[in-house]
Amino acid sequence: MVPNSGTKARASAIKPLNAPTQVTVNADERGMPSSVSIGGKVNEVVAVEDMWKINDEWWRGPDKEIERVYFHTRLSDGRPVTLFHDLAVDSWFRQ
Amino acid sequence: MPLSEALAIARKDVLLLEPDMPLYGRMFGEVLVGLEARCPDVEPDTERTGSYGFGCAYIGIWGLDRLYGDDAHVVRALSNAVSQFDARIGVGENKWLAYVAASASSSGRGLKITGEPGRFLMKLPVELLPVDFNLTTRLHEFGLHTMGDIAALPPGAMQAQFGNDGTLMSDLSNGIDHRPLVARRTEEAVSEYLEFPDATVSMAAILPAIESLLSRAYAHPQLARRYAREAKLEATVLRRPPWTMRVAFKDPAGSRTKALFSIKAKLHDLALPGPIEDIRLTLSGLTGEAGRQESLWMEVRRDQKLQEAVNQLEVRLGTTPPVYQVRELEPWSRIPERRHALVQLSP
Repeated sequence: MVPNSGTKARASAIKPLNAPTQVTVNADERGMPSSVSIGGKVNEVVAVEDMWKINDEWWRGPDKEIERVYFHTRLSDGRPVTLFHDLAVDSWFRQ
Repeated sequence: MPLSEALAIARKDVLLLEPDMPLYGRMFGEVLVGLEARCPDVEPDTERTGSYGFGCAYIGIWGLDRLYGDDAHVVRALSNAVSQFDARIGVGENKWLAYVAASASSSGRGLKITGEPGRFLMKLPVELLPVDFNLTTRLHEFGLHTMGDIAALPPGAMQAQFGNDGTLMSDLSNGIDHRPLVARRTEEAVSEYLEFPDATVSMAAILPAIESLLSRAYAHPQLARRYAREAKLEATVLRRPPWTMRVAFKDPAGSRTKALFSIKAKLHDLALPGPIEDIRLTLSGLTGEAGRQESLWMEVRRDQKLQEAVNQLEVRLGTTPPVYQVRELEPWSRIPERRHALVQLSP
């Protein structure tokens, strides 16, 4: 058995990269994003260039299941933005 | 006599003057240049007078008789080269004899050791020997007061008692000195000087002054299409010893802007010892090459530099610096935020 080194756990030593941030998205009746609010400004989504779905860790139960629909979008000002709709909690995130 | 002892004896009416080493260096440099104009082989005595080598120089005068005549004429020519000081000049077969002859001569005069050097040295005190003060005291305790006393002893006995110093003292007392004359290598440099109207500590005044000095230096014909490897800043500080700073350029600086960038970076974290009255900039290490030799082991060097930078930051901040690197965690993961993470840098 490995003895306890006594070193304090340093959670701060690891920082998540590319963590999702919650955003407000208006979606149409098909569930496709039509506008997104970033920094208090509403941006129109002019194109959905790609779309995919991930369903993972379903074996950990309904609370921890990951079920997301990703949309690679382009906004009216030309910016590409990746959004996903978290179906488990019914919220939108930018990533 | 130590300074504290001298002050204790004098008690009052003592005016302490700080040594102005940059000034002495410049003055002695001018003397050396004057001597080199008359004789190419000039070596400042850095062994005896400390690393500065001020005040004493050896000159190889072999063959100069064809130019100036006999040794007396050579001495006169050298004396004229040091006209601002009363130079003492000694002529001898080696550096030690020349030094002792110069020490025994009078101001503005020359002395040549002829004949048996032992006879000249025998009555001179052991204090002239280039050894530690404690060693001289021990010599006196042994009853060795003159070089003649040491020369009378077998070298082996001196070596047995004093080690390498004993051999040296025995050799010198017999007029033996095998040290070669190593002429100094003259370094090309460009120097500019500026005096402030009032003494200042403000970087807002000092930086434009340095910029102006750099402009003047780079306008010098010696620096036309050339680069400098090092800059030296010297300043007279109000009521304090002079201040000196050296900046070695990582890449040779071929323009005012580049040189100023490096100087600014070094000045940024520096506190001046007091208000400065003037400033002198000297650019040296002049080269026609701007290139830099790259290391064969770039990865190793890069990690070392990175580690050094992190250590410096840690000392400055007093805590682990927030420097991170991107590490792969689960690059295969379908969940983007799990693929990579920022972890504390450990080169």
